[in-house]
Amino acid sequence: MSHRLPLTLLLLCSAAPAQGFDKGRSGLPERSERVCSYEMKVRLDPKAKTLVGEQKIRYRNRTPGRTGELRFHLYLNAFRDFRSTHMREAGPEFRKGYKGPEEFGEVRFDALRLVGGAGGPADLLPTLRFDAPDDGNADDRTVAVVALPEPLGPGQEVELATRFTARLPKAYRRTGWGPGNFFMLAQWFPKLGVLEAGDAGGSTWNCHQFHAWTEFYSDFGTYEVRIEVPAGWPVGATGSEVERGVVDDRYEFIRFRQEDVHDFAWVTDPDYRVKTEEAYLPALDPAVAALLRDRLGYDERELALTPVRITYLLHPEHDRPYVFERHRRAVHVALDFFGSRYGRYPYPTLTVVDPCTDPEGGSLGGGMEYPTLITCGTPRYPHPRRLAPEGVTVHEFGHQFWYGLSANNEFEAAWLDEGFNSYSEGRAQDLAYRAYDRALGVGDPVWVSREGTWLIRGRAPASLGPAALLPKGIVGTGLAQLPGRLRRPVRDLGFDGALLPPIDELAIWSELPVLSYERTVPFAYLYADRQQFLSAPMEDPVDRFAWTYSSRTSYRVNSYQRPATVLATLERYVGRDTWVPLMRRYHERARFAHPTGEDFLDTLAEFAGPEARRIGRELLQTTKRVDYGVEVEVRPPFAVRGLDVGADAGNVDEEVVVTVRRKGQLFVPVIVRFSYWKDGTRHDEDRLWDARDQGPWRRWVVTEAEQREKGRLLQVLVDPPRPDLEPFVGPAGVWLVDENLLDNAWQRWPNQRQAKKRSARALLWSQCLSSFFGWMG
Amino acid sequence: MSAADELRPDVGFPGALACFGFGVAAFFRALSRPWVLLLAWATYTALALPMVVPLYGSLDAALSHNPLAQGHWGQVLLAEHDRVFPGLGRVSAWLPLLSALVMTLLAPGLVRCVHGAPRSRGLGALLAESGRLLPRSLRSLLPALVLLILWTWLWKAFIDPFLLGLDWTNADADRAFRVGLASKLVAGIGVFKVLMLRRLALARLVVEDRRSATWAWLWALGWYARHPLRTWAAYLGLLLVWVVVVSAGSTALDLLEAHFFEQATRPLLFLVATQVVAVLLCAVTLAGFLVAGRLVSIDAALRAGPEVPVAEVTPVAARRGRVASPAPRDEAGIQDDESREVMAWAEGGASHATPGERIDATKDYGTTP
Repeated sequence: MSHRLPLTLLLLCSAAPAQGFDKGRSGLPERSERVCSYEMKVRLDPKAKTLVGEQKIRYRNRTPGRTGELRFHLYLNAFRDFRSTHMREAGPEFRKGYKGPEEFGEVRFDALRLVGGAGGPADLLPTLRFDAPDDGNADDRTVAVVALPEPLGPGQEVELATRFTARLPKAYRRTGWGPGNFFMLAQWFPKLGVLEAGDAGGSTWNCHQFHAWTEFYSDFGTYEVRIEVPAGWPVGATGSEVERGVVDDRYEFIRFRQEDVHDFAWVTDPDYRVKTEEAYLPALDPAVAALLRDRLGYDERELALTPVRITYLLHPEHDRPYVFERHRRAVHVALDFFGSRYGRYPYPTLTVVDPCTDPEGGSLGGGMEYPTLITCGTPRYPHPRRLAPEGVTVHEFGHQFWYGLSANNEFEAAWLDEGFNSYSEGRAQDLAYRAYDRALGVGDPVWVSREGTWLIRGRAPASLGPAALLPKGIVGTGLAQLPGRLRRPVRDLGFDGALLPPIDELAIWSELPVLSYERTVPFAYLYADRQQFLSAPMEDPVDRFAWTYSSRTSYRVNSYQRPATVLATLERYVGRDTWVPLMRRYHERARFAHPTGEDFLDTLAEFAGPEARRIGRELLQTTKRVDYGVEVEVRPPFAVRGLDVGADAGNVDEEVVVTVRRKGQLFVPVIVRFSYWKDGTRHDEDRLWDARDQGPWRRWVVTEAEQREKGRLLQVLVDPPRPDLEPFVGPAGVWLVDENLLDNAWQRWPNQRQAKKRSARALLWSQCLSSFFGWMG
Repeated sequence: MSAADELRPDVGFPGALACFGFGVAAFFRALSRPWVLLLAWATYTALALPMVVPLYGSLDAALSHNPLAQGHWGQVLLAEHDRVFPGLGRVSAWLPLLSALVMTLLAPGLVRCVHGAPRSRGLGALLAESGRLLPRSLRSLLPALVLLILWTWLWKAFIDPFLLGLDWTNADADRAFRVGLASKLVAGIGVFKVLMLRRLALARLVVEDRRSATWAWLWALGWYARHPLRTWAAYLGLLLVWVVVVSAGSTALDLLEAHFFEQATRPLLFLVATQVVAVLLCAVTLAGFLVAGRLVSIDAALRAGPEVPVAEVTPVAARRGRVASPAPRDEAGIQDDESREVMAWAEGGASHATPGERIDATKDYGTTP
């Protein structure tokens, strides 16, 4: 199918604003539909840890139906007490972290007036009530509903004026205050939900409660915020600074403005050290550009990237040249990769915040994304061959595209941003950091992180690393059951039966290659993601509401690693030349819009056909598994004991029965490669086992005659490795989602090297563990 | 200054340095007891085999006929194997507990062996001694477990929250992080201290052949109260050795694997290399016993003092005629050369006093600074 379009049509399409996923779109939209705009003024009282703010909200009903109410997210109320849905879902371990009443937070309306439209002016505050549409929790106050005097019709606008006060929580969950005067202000203001077209021409509010592991969903619009902070405090925020001035002798104000975003976050702390890169012009990947020119007919204007002013706010403990350079490089890598693949970053600014570290060792507010502002996660002592802080920085920047621009409903389909972004983040880093960068001293990454160690050593051994065992292994032998049997006064003293304290820092032992007793191996996100999602039970499909997964682990793997692996698999299946234009086109249509999983599958079908759509749909919307394996039986033609087969049997004196089994429920086409050896040369022959009418097994018999002709059958590979597929070549071919790669290959002569080497390592590791814990004896 | 001088309690920092030195030297002394080393190695190996043998069988079945199990791809498949067959790893989940239990059984015998003369010991004697001393070992372990639980609770319920709740920590994120780290370091030090005291108590019970675990613990606490610096110094010396052995050993194995093993099939060579590292680790463990035993000997020597007849510094049980110590002793009842040297200092001077001679407190033996 040709995807070339006349340039004029492209330009016409580009000029149109976007909000819905436009299946006919080609080219990048210049701006959003700007449904909901906020003009706000907010003042921070650092001593009382409160915000007092005013809002002017202009909202337009873009649905074909009418609505008689407005629904607001009051996210900060999730931290009001332990009875909120967020706190209940977060579990006792999270709740235990709260040490006093000052660590809770809330937001409340002091005034809420309808200034214009829908029968205004009117005071809406008396009509305010709280709703819990997801779980009916009467104690949850994260969704507020106000009634309009008159219904708001299609295309009509309302203007609201509010005053609110926010008491900030401690930033255990990405928003609030931290040690000193650290403030991370996210989800800090009352925010309208999204009115969506409902059934039969109606409309319905999509305004979910704030769950423990859901994120957000909002309409695009313009945000203009005047922030008042103590004089001299650095402020980083969504958008560009447009005005700065003095409020009084103690306070100053800074006004930020940004169009075409759907949220506004800001940070301040007098300790922040600010560095600015005035204009970074992202580099276009020539190979990708050539592909897009060829397949989509794009010209230089469409592909052109634009300069970005990057501001870095670093907390003092992270303000080291080495760390800063790593952040800078990561941001550049991300801007280059995402710009080349998905289109230019459309905003003039980017603020990169490296927040402070919690006394408990956690990063307060770190690893989060907001429009034009990201927060990083920096280890105290970054490892040169472990991609941290790079991983978080690239990932959070990636959210500018997958969440910021392609603004899916994160409550209902978290995988559409986290999964796409994890795939993109992994790909960006696999490409950029494959080789060691001598100048910067990073790269050539290895599996040495805690997760990495877990990956390479497998689930059980890693959980048995000396450090991991200290707090858990010995406790797990029964003492941990003790506290439950104790009376409450004893339990209240904090006795939990632990034999040893939880010293997480000791986990660094298992991160050090010298102590792992395993050789470090090259890192590839493809395989890391694959291992992680396959290690979790497959209880849920990828595509489901984020708070309805069976567990937090299920949410994590189904939102991040599994969709990332599925996307990498689909890329391999359709081929890079199709995939790159496909993803570009999907992003163009999703930009400034609210895409759904079906939108992606439709785009997949458009570019790669219905079979690709079927496979994608089954991988994403079902729990069907992919697993193929091969069994080979070598049958001598004269299998009767003692019978002389004769000298002329030569090297091809048998027949080989090759059985390929489909062990999973999902049917996919697989290539089975037969490798023959004749006269010192190897000859490969690929046979396709098509997905159509695929039974549970398929058998090939390589006869004596066939082996005489082609040579001795040396190897059989199911879904053989594909060195032509970027960027990391490993033992998987197309089907990265194949559950067990161990049985995908067979060779005639055994090679026990790996088994022996690994066993020797395991022996030493066990002996080390014994000598370590022998000390307890 | 002689080694005996360095160990004087009133010398201070130089004494701690000397203790650090004998912590390090203990490792080399442990290496000089090959058969004890062999025994410790065999014990650890025996504990590991129930995991390693099935692992090898599983790996062999899964990878030997897989042509992709080479180089980096092989590493990926090894990770795959661990994921597909997690049960094998779970076998080793009990390894730490098992090794702790086995060492509880063998520790008394090993202390005897490594602290005594390197000759005239056999497996039978070691097991006999271990069996005989097991009740004492268990009795001395009990306070350690209680203290560990108590310390953990104290730290989690009070110390950690107190440190993290200090106003001045919340005023500065960087400082708060450091305090958080320091708090966990305090927890780790506490754990290490309990284990150290348990070692000392055990050594006291075994070296002097005493019966009362309570008194042994009280002695250990008393010793630590009087000589914290040198006790820590001795064990830090050992810790340094452990870090060096582990780091150098692992790096050497990595290099060996990368430069030799990948190119040619030399599994035996690689296995031998790993076991060299394992033996060195055993030596570190034995050195731990040596250090504890030596601290007990030093205390014995100090307690004997100039006025006390040397003959009285003998195992209590032996003095009481209950059990004859299997360790060969000299006339002063001291079991090893180092302690004999210390004893000489306690007697008044290594070069001037003779064993068995009654010390004259008024006489200048020429070694007291």
